[in-house]
Amino acid sequence: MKKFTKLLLTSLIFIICFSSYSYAGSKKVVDGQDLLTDKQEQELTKRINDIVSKYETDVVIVNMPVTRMYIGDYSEYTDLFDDYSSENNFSAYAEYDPPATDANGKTYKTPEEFSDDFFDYNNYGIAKNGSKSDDDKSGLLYFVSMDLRWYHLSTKGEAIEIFDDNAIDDMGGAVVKNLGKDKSNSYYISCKQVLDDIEYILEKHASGKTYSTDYRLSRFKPNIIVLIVLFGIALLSGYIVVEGYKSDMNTNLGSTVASDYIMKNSFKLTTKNDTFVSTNTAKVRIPTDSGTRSGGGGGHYSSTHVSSSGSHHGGGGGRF
Amino acid sequence: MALLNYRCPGCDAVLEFDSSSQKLSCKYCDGVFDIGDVKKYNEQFTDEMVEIEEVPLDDTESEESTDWTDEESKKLKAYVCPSCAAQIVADENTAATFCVYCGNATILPKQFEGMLKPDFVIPFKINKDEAVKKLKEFYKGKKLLPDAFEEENAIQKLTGVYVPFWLFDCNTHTKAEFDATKVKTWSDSKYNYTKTDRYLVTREGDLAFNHVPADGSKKADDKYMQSIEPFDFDEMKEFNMAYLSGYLADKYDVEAKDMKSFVDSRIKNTVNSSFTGSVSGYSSVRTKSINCQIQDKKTSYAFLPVWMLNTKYNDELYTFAMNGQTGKIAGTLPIDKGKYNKYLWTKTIIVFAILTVLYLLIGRWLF
Repeated sequence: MKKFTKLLLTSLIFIICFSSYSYAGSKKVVDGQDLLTDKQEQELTKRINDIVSKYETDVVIVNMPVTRMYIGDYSEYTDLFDDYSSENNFSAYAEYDPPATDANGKTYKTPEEFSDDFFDYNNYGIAKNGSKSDDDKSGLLYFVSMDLRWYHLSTKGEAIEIFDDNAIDDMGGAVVKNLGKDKSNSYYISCKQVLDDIEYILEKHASGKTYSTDYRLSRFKPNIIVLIVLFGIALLSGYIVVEGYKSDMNTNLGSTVASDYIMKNSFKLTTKNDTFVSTNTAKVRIPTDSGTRSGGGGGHYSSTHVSSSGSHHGGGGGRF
Repeated sequence: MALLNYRCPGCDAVLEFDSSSQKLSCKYCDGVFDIGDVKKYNEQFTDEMVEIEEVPLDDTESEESTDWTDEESKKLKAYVCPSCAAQIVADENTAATFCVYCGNATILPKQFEGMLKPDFVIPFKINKDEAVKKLKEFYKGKKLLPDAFEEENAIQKLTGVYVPFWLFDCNTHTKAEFDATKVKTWSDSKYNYTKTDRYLVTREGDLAFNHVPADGSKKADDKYMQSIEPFDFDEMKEFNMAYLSGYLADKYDVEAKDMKSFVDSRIKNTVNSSFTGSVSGYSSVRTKSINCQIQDKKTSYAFLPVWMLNTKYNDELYTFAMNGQTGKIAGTLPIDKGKYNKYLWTKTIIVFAILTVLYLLIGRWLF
């Protein structure tokens, strides 16, 4: 009987845990810094749900003030962090200011740690083919901390493979550009851009195309000045061609030479002196190339790391 | 002043020079005769020839009564056609012409007497049909030519003219000095090196010219006559009036000495480029001095064959000259402004479209 009670209790806990997972994983936009209007939040959530149902890859948008990134301080977010265990003791290193440990002795998580943990402990990610392995839960999390001016894109599962290092870099480039504008809606615009990119890359992936090797995201917008210059070049080349036609119209060119009437073999040189006068050698230092050029990531490659929960993540981030 | 017709030994009709056979041919009996034979046959008519006299200029026969000005009438001369007795009007320089009424080829031997006797002639090699064909080919493929130009062209008015030319033969002796450099560049890990060797190059030598032509007629435009050059003087013949039969010809009215400075400049230009061309193997060559002396100058007088066409389009006169030996054409064609703009904009749009597509493709790939 005691054994039965133990079993019942275990399964009860399991059921409770499971239900909380499904609840947490369903919130796709977590606006911790209140950067979005309700309407924008709804729009983004709808787009994410469309992407999730179409491509079976989870997408999460999170922004959080640095004060919510303390280790062990998740009291206000218990609904989201309910499985967040206090026994996790993250390493205190930080890639950012303010310092990893503040005056009150609280330890910050790095944006990467925070993003990965947020994803893992809130049970985001969709596993295909009924796989139970945590590492098979595929998804991408776009994290921004406005007060840190830091963004991070965290991938997990199949998404690590789909969004390779170049994809993360290219998406991050757009994030930095959008957030750098510091306009009231720049965060919203950056979210839309990230979703556009995610959808584009997932669509390409569905048609069998691999990022880096088959294609790259293009931020290219035709420049009107370049087009005007090109038109000028076109007009000039058209003018040269038509002036060529025009010169064909005139064969009355006269002649100022008599080379046709040189008597054969009459050119005789009696003196032919080539006298050396002087020499001069100039020596110019070759400018050294001080800057090093980065290779720019040619092939498809995804770097990964292991998060606090022990699962594998990919992605990257940086300042904006 | 007398007129001369070369008569056919077969039927006594007037013979004309046939450029394809290079002989005299008869339009009426299809006979073809050697120039020497015809000359011999025609010697018996010499007396008869003298009888035809220059007559006072008479404009009463003309339907449109033309009043000749004094100056014009001084330059114009009238003859009676030995064939049909009509009046042949010619100017003071005319040496060969036709009767406008019966088409008889007529030569005025007085224009070739004494100092006026040409030394050489290059006979026509291209006949009128070939000349018309060549002119049509010249029009073809000219993208800016107005469509109506050829239709309105009185191409059949193409006229064969022997133009009087002065031919200059000379030797030249030239001394020239050049500054020349040889430049070598190389580099090691730290430096780029440029080695410049300077040379003083001297050249002295001779160059001879044969038959540099200069137009001896005021009527023929000098530039046109230069543009249809060169003539092949290997085909040049001793002068014989018989070659002129069937063509127009004028005696010279520009003296050889008046053309001297122009011919000298052509020769000097050619000497300069020949001597500059003899300095080779250098990175740069700058001419310091060229001193060219023209020696042993000899001048001869020759008739060279030219097809001329004067035609009007939109009330403007267009002149074409064709080398009667080689078929080379000189002339300025009218330009259709509509076609010019059409080509300009279609080419521009095509190039712009290609450039834009390339820009978008490269842009998408790079950014």
